[in-house]
Amino acid sequence: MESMSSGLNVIEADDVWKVYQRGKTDVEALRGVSFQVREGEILAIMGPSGCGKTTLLNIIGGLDKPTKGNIRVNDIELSSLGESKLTKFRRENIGFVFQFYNLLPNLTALENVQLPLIAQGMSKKERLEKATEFLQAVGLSDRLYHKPGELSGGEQQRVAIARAIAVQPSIILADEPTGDLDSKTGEEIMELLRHINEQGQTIIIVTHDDMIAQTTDRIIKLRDGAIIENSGS
Amino acid sequence: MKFGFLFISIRDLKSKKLRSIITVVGIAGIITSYLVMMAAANTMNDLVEETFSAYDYRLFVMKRGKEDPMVSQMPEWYVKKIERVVNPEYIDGVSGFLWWMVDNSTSDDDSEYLTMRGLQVDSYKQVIEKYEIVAGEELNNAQKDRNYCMIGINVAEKYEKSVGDAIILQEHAFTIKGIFTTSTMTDSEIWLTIRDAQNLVGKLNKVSLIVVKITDHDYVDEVRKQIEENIRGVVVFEADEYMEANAEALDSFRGVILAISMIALITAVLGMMNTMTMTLRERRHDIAVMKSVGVSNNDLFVIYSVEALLIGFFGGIVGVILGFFMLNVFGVSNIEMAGYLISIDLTYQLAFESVIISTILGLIGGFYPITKISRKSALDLLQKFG
Repeated sequence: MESMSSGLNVIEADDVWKVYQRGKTDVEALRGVSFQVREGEILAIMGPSGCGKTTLLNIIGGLDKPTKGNIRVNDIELSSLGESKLTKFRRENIGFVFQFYNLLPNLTALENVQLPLIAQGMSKKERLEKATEFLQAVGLSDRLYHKPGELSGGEQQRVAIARAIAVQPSIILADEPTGDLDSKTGEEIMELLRHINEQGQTIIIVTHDDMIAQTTDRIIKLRDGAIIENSGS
Repeated sequence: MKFGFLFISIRDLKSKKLRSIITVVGIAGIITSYLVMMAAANTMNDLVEETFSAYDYRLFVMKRGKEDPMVSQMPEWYVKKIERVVNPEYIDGVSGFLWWMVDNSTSDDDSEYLTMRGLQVDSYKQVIEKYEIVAGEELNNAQKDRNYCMIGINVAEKYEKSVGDAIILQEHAFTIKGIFTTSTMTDSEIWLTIRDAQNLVGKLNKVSLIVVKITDHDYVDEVRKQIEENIRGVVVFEADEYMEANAEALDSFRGVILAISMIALITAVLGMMNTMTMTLRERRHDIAVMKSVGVSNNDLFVIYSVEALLIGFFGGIVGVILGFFMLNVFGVSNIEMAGYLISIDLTYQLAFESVIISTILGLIGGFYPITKISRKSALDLLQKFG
């Protein structure tokens, strides 16, 4: 697999801990995780359920904060940012792709893709052009005005990907992006993500699927909140 | 604030049509009751003010301790005594009236009361408020006009009576001689000769109010002094003073209406709060997704506040339309109060105020649930959704 990696670190995690309180018990979701991700890299995070994959992804994406340790994304130290600055950080740096697509059911595909563009304050004309362009890029030019309920799982995930790349973030975080799709559609989605990666965007994929992981530049394996393997494919 | 998000508010409203409609109708019902109650209070207030303003240059003489024409009773000869004791230069006329509530019903089942005024036919025109005869003639002969009456235009319209018809009061028939209008509450009265009035209610040789028309406001104190010093047990008011003395009762009436209106409006706020809480609870997932793609708390606040505002606004519009129909089409506008027929006016100003109030209620009702949910983190919302 040809990598677009440039050698610059866009993500630097240093001794990241995440401890949740469940009743009176402390649950250590992440235990001293340290790693770096280079610009343009496509990376898989693997591990059994409950090992901390999604928690790590959420911390990288600024949806969650580490209990201890530092996480720098695009030279921004996330652990010190407040809620509104984290929102701005996500808006400008991160595109999320979720397992269950997380599209707004009342909005059309075109409107869903426009959401982050509106949040960026883009004009109506410009955002319509961009959203259309990105939906065309993911092969949905004939589904612009369909609502999520009128689209197949694969099509919904394509809309979610178009939404994630619409603001051209430097990093795409995909949490089990093929987990709810059949294998053929899953492959198509992965092909799309790889194509996006070739444009220079860094992609981190959380997956259970070895086949998918094997197509990435590097695999980080987690178990019980700690990295047990960090290797190139 | 990004206006581009506003289409989400409209979409959300449309996606829950039934709930939106039910909430709008609920608020509309409350706004209708508010509107009708406030219109009634305002109309009452305006009517009382207009009625009393028609009594400029008049002094009211009533029994001390019973300063209400419906309660006060004095011997009729007090009228002559006042004419004697007051300097004639100060006054243009003196006349006695007997006010009473009389039964207009034709059977026990349809009991209806009207305000009757007995007139001293030879002197009432000197002191009575301005009136215009719209049909027939005035009462002008104390003897010949026995068993005749004049009715206000409200009475004529309500009972569909015209000159020459009979109207039944306390089981006695009186022939309508004339129909008058004053454009005040007086339009709901029936005027008889004083003798007929006294006989009808069993108050022989009694009057309940004596009106003294003065030539100049500067003489008020002097005339008052001359009357109160020479006739024991009476009290003299100017129209303004009388209105002020009765303002407390009017204020109490308005206070009760306001209190009921406030309860209705608070109910609307709570209903709105409940609707928005339910709506936002269902949309936790959408809110989490919007947050994760970088939509700020302020933008979320605006999106859902606009939704609450629209519900309030449409509730107000529908409420005003319902109010208009209730008052004008279903005839609720004519109410009977203390023997007076009052025609409630729905003013443009009150309609406009009601829509504004309803819109503000929507915002207030939505404020707490919207603030609460928009401050939650995207992750919290996603996890709760999951």
